[in-house]
Amino acid sequence: MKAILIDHDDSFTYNLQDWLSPICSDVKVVNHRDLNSDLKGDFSKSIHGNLIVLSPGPKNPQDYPHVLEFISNISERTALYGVCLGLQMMVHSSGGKIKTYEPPLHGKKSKLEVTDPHLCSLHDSEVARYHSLYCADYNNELFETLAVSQDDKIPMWLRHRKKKWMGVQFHPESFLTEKAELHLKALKDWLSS
Amino acid sequence: MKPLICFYRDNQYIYSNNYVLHTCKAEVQVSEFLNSMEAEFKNELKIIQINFEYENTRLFSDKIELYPADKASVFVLNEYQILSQPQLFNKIPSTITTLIHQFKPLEEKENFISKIGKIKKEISAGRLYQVNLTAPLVSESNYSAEIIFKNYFDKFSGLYKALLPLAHYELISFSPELFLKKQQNKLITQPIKGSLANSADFANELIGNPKEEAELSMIVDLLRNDFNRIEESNSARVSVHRAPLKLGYIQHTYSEIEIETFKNLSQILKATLPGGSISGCPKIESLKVISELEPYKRQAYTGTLGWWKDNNFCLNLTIRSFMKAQNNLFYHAGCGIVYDSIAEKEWNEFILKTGSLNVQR
Repeated sequence: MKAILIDHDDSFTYNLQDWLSPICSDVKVVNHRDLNSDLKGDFSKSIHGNLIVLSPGPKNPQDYPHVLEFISNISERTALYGVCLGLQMMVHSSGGKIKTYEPPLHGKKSKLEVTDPHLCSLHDSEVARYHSLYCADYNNELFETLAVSQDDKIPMWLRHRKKKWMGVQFHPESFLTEKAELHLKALKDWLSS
Repeated sequence: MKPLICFYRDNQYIYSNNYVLHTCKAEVQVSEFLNSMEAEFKNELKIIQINFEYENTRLFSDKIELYPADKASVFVLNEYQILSQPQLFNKIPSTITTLIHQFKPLEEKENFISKIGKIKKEISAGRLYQVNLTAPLVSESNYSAEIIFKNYFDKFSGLYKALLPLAHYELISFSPELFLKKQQNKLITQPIKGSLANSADFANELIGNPKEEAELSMIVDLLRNDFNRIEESNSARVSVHRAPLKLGYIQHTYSEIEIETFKNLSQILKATLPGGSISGCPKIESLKVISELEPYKRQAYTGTLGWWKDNNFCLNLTIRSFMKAQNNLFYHAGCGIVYDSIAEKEWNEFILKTGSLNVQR
């Protein structure tokens, strides 16, 4: 499997690339600014069957209108996986609301409360959180909530019911996240489902 | 020639008074400069120094320069000795026992505190996770750089001490922080975060403190990222996390990250400069915020310096350091600002990092 990793000027992008490498033979990092030029249009068709990953990053989904436009144009069958800001972009582009979260959590850990039985091996495991914003409101008919944080019940893991989209609010690539390999297996299972 | 001193290994120092100084011209990229130095002097022992601004000179172009400085310098040593500390001290004759300096922060406390408030707002809005905010101090000084080095040697107990007679100023470093060390193909970094007065209870106040833990964890993830960027086919590992670093005047925690790589110095610096622990996270946005909030260029402060020979090198993060330009002696201090930061405490940490220098408050 090949992946395109869209980088939002983040400082964790190459950790994500490293985390993905056991299941992706090639992970190409593309800066979000370069989406405007070469990667639009035919690009979304050419990567059919592969994976697009939206990196975490600073600021708000609305600060990246070109990325929002890009994801709204990709084929519904193209697998799209988002981390933190990446998840918030998916929710925002589907009409959901992203709000600020007080207090912001950066470099902190929470335990997962898994609601999807297929992910029960990750129940109670600790995940790293780096976010000032969160997915405050989204249509449950569009997104299925797979896990929330145990302490503050914030959506941590969502899957789109129609499109091949999945996203996490936590950081699976962080060294603070337990069972990184099980998170990767969950991604792999979803990609092949 | 003025003597040059640089940390080496096992409490030994490189000492030289026969060297050639090469400097990077403003229009030349630091990477190009380092590559040309490597091509010409690969097997020579070299001492290098690079400013914080590195190749981001445009971002900081309108900032005030405290002293004239080249963006990067390389000393090629024609002759040198490896000396123990007593041998080194014998080379610096001095009868002065106490230096008289009065350091004045070039930033008012109120101003520093209001910047912390601005940073916290940016963190709330999602623009940043953490940023390192710094400010310079200055004192008049009529002592030579060697005398300052010798007299402050024990006051600042960092392992990575140096005295570099650069083209326009002298750099006296007492850094406790290892930025990059490469031996054969193993590269390591040891970021420091979390600070506490020496008298305070390390276990309770540093190790048991979630704010201090988050501050260091964030920088560990950032440095893993920078290392993973150097070598996409290898993975960065965290080999030490939250170990104590006790200096005479302050206590910290540090971590260690390592990776296998065959890349050369300029490629490694391209992925890692400016250092994560002294810029912030995410790094690109942090550098923008630093350029918005800090009126002075940092220059040598929070840059890097150390030795380089073949493909091996050892570089400090240039903190706890003095820059002597004419009769001005500059020192800087800074704090990692996160959402949980309490402005007054950060200011106290700023003062704590001046060691026991005489600071006018």
